[in-house]
Amino acid sequence: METKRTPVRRTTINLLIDGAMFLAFLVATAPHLSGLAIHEWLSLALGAALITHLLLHWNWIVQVARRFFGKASWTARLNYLLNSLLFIAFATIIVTGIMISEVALPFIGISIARDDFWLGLHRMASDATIVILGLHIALHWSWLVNTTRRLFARSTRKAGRSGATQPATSQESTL
Amino acid sequence: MKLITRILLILAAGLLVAATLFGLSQSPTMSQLIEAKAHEDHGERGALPEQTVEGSHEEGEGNFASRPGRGMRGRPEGESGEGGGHGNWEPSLAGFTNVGVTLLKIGAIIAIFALVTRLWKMRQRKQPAAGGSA
Ligand code: HEM
Repeated sequence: METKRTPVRRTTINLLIDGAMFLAFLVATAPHLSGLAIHEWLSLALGAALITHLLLHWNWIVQVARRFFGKASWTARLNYLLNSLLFIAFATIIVTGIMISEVALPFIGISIARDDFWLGLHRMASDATIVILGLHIALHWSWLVNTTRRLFARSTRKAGRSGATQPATSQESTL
Repeated sequence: MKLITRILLILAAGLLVAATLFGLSQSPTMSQLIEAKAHEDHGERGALPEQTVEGSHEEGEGNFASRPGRGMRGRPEGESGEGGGHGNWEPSLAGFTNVGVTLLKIGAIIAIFALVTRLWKMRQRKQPAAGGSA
């Protein structure tokens, strides 16, 4: 009866990667919780995950870039701008983080003289990222809700025979 | 493209696990945490200003154990004046507050965005679009 419209596995992978990145980001914003070593290494790994994330959405990036000044919806344009900002902010955090690194860089034998300018930028970019990330999530809210719902609906269907599952439709937009 | 994505995915996942394990192995042991706490108490007696000098801490330099002598205390606006503790980068459950605050901020932004979009849509419905985009 159910036909799968989207490649479910890929969507699930996307959701899991995004979720993991979000959690890692939350931890990264709290170096007091993790300590500096975990803060630095985890954030560097987050940088690698970010590149993967970009590659997974590469088709979208290329397509919207082509249509940006042509016929694209305002949502797609806003989305594109926001994602570009998010990328810039993230890149800034990682670069400035490396400049003030006290664990990762010394570990590979590099030590840079401490400059508070980088620390200021690190904090600023981190604060900006929180705002941009909030908007990013808000824009993708329906995707997030629908995909999560579909994922849970599938697993409950698999787990038991309780047939009362409602597959979420992609038209259901929450925002 | 597909293959490279897969390879990167595996690499990223591997790096994440390795980084976390390494980070954990680098993070201070329980005894160091207790020691850090002792430093906090010490801070109330005004010992912190001395620790602003990089590497001056008696435990030596270069490893995580020497951290109490570095970090935020080196900054003029550091919170060291309040008796220490905050400028400390030792892992602490108190840091959960930061996670909570970040979540709250993101939640607030999502809520505001939802509200604005809803209001916008209501406005659009009231006055049918006079051309333009969908
Ligand atoms: C998503 C990525 C990251 C986020 C959100 C982030 C966020 C933060 C925040 C909020 C602070 C506390 C600032 C303060 O209160 O003084 C901090 C401190 C710090 N971060 Fe990051 N950071 C990230 C990545 C990195 C990376 C990749 C490195 C290095 C490889 C790094 C190195 C540091 C260091 C050394 C400090 C302590 C600075 C000090 O001594 O005061 N960060 N970061």
